[in-house]
Amino acid sequence: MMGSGLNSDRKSKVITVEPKSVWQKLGASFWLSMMWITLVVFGAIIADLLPLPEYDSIDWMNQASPPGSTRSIQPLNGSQAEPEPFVYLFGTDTMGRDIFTRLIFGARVSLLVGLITPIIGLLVGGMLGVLAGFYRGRLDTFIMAAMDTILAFPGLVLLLAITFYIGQNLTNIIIALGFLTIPSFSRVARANTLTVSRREFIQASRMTGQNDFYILIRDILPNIILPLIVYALFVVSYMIVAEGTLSFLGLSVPAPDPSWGGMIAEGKEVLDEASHVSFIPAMVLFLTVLSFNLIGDALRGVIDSKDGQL
Amino acid sequence: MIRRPAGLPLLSIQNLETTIVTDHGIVRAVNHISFDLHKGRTLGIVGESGSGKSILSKSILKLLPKNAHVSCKSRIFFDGLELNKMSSKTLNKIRGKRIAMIFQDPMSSLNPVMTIGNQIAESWIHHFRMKKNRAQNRSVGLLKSVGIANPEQRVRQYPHQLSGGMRQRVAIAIALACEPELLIADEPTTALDVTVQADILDLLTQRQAEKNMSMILITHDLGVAAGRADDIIVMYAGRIVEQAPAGQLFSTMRMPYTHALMNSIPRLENPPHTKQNFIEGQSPDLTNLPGGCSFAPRCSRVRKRCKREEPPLSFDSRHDHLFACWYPVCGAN
Repeated sequence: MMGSGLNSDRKSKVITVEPKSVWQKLGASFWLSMMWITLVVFGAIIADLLPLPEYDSIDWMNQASPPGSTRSIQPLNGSQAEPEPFVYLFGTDTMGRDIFTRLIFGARVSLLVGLITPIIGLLVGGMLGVLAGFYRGRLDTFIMAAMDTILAFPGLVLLLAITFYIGQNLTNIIIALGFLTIPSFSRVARANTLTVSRREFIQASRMTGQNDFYILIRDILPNIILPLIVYALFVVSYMIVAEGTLSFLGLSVPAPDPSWGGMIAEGKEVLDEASHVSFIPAMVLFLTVLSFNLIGDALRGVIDSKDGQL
Repeated sequence: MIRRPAGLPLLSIQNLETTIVTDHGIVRAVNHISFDLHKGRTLGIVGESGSGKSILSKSILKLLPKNAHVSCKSRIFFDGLELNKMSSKTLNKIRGKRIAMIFQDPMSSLNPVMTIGNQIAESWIHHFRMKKNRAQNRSVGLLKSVGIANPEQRVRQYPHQLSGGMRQRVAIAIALACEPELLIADEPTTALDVTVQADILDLLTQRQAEKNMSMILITHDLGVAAGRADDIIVMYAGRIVEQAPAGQLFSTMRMPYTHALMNSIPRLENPPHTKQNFIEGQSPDLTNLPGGCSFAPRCSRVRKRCKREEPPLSFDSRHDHLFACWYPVCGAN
């Protein structure tokens, strides 16, 4: 009796293990991060359309006022109209400028630096690394020696030199930071190319009469592009922090233009009485960097499990 | 007894010598190898790991690693063309189109991020400038002809979705796509299950017969070469030590090494717990070959002369049976 009962019990249990889809594998942290990044990107794009005060309009009556305080005086342009009430959602900074507005406009700088810089590194460094790893020999030695030279050069000194001699603007900052990411990208690309080139399908491809260019583009590149993109995501967060550090030092975008690092720097004078001036931009920077890292991590997890199937 | 086809051989290798420069010295991987291969025939190349079989096959089409060099005295003729004097551009027109190759490990000889269909279509697109759609449609038929079920679905799949045997069939399909005149199969069944080995080999011989293709079948297993090769070359330490038509080789082995190889094959008719025969010692260090016969240190019939002088590749009673031994084994096997 017992036996038969167990048996029927077993029979009724149908094993239903659905393989996890890629979306499920990514996990909640990935989607929360995506939401935050989307919010920041969206805000940065439509910043001009939002009903916000100018990012450099100064409210002398509300310097470093806490989050939630309202605009109390008439604007200085002397118009008689009743000023529309405006709530400083995140308060104002030491010069009475709206922190929320400055955060949204500052996101433009951070995102531009964070997203374009890795693309420069990915394109130039990736190409050099693939060539070095594929052809080996003297070309490899030469490229890697050049990369080591860039790595050994103190980055901050280079950035200082560029801002002082060529000019302090966003384009120069992006190019300089992009230049500094080239060595690490080329190392990642070279290491991956070395492993892929040793696989037999490269020889098989050569055996079907394909030339080096074809092999590089169709065989090597698709096999190393995923690790490179994941690495690029980590560089995005690293570069956002780097830009923040630069603006903290006053080396990024010039004065009235907002940037997150610059805003943190402004608040350091009033940390004891109005800590929100520093902490709110710091929090936004933190959340953005964390989000990019979590996205990179989640994607790397998915890629690794895919490699496991091979 | 054995019919020798008249006319020029399809592939003629004369005095092939390949060296590899390493940190430990110069490896003489292939030493003074010469042979001819006629149209429609199969040549089996047998030898242990490290005897230079793969380097030999890769020397033919310059697929060698960068530190390997083919001596300038070596001559490789394919249908009247001297392959080793060709630029890589002209060579690329022969690779895949007139000479194709199947590699040992089907797990790594297919591109993991390209669909099966695309990988087969590539060689048509490359060699015949065929339109992509047409090439992909043709790849379905080709997959079917190498014995893959549901080819319509398989062409859209990636290599990791196929089993080892199926991948090797795909590799064969890619090699056969342009109907080559010469197929080099470098240990095509070594990485496969024993049950699949025979299928793959049968497929190869069947396709070879249909297209009157020549084939070089490289293997470490005398049994694999036995039923399929017309001629067999036994290699040891980068040299040919015995060369004969397959039937002749198996009936009367002259070289002690071939004999030892044959004896080390496990047999079903052996009683249980029979001690397995094996060849004692290791293959010699190719960076520093001993003087005299390179098999001498492991040979059971070794005498003083073997260690002093290197035996030339010669024949005695039969013109087509060459061996490199001072004191050959006599009589039937």
